[in-house]
Amino acid sequence: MQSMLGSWRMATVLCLTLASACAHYRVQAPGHAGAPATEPEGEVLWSLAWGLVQEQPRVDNCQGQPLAEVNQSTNLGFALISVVTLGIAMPQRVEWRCAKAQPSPGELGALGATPGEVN
Amino acid sequence: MPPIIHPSDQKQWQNWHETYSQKLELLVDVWNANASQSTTEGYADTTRGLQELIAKALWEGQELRALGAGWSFSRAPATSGILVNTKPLNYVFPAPRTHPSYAGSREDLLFVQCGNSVAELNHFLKAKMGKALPTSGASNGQTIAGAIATGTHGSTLDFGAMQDFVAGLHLVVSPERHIWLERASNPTINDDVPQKLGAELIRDDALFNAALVSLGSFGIVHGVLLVAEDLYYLQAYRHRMPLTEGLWRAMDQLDFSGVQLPGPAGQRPYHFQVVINPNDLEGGAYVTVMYKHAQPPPGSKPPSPGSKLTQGDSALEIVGVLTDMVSDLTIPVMSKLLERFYGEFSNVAGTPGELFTDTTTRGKALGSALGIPLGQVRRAVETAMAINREYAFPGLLALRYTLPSKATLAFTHHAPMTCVLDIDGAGSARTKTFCQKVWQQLTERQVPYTLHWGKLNDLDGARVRSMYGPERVESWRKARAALLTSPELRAAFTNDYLRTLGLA
Repeated sequence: MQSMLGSWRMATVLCLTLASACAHYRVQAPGHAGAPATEPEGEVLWSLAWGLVQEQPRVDNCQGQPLAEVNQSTNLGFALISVVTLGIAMPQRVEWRCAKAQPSPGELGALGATPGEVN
Repeated sequence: MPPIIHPSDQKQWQNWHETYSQKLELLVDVWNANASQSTTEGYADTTRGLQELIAKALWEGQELRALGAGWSFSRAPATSGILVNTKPLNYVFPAPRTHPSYAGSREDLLFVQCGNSVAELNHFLKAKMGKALPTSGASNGQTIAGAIATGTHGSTLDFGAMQDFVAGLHLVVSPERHIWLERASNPTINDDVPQKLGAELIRDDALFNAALVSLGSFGIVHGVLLVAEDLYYLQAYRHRMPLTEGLWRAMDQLDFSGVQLPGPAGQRPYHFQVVINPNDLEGGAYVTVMYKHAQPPPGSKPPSPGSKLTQGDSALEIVGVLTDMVSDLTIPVMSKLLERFYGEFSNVAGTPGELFTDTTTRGKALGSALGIPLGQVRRAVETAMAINREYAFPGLLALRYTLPSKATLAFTHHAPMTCVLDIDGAGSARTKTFCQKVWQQLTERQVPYTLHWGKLNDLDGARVRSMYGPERVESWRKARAALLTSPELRAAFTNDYLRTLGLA
């Protein structure tokens, strides 16, 4: 019974530890502009030497549209790397979704309409 | 100019609510060549691009699926073959020319490309046309094509499901053929329009009703002709009320005579919703009512733009937010947080797009929705509550109501009204098991029900036939075969979900 209780405590501590090391931050355009056009694309980016060098994501899927949303997340492994290297290497996962275009409305069948035929 | 077809490196796709992942051969984004201006030429070019993708799938022997927002919990949009992301396709064409016999107003019509989200449509209709959708689901992140393909239900007492405001569909069904489909009993578009798009015009009630809730398997829905209505405002109230006999009668039969609903006395609500936390019944149920007006009533307040949750959010929405906040959701915490975030309010007025707000739900939420005829609602809810006493789950029961849909496989086809009982919870094995227990108990107690195609269900061919009747199912399959005329085409627009349902 005692050992079972110990296992539960261990499991609880482990879960809390793992959960606390995961963090997500999201920036999303408000309103309908936040409706994404694409599925999430992402990559792991490294910041080196306390920010002297940093990677930039290669966003090549938005076809000239802005971003609708950016997510940044870290996990236990990334946190350990950051601590062990004293912040010299700090990885983060970054994901983005492209925004939709906002096309001006078009006319469907309006050109050449005979007045008598149109409701 | 041909559309931009951008292949992704991803070989795995996950649905929005993160209930499953699917390995796939290819994910492509399709963008209109000129994304900033809606033109018939650009639309026609994109049609040809979609036809080329179908040709590619046929050539490679792959399955193909058009992807909307991926909002479904079920595997309706999933494929191991080619997944075509249509979200970037959001051209809009207001007030197209109508058929001489069309009795409605041309100004109410809006032809849109499949990738328009409900949020985008709400915005466009209000800002550019002074109109609104007659109804919508409680969330608005779905694309219009995705929402109707799975039969997304509405939430008003005076209208049906979302597919019931659709008057025409433009379907790309093969590398050589695309179709403008509408009802013969209600010709809406002027014949010149399909001709201008190069589409074959078919007017047929049975085909149209079947193609509305298509589960993505009638080809690619490229365009949808919507019938909107003049912009209206909903005056909303949410009060917590005890589960009295009067409230039960309102829930079971929409008989409001025994209950004092919040808001103006004596008015029939346009929207009536009850949310029950089965783990906290002492404080009563959350009753939301909305009344329809042409203008915001004097003295009403606008919806709060700053709050994370606003009126009209579904139970799933709440659970999603809570799941984001506490990954190990517990029942007592859930009750406390529900009180915090799902508060009471009075006399708040906004357009449907302002009340059923932009959706940012995240987290592994899970939900099932049952279509139940009036008169059976209390039995169904009490069954779920009894199961919860033995097997509590961290979630909510929510009830909304809609008129029966004309779509052949609408899960909201029960007349005279369908109650939609949502069972929404955190994404967990417990939630899934709870739903299964409810389905099983209702079947054993012979309570008639149907299940939302886009939410959690355990349907197979036999259950689909028993729920809808063999005639409806065969009528749907016959319509599909009439539009997808070869076995190869039908195979291309099939997926595991369709095979499981016995509908392939």
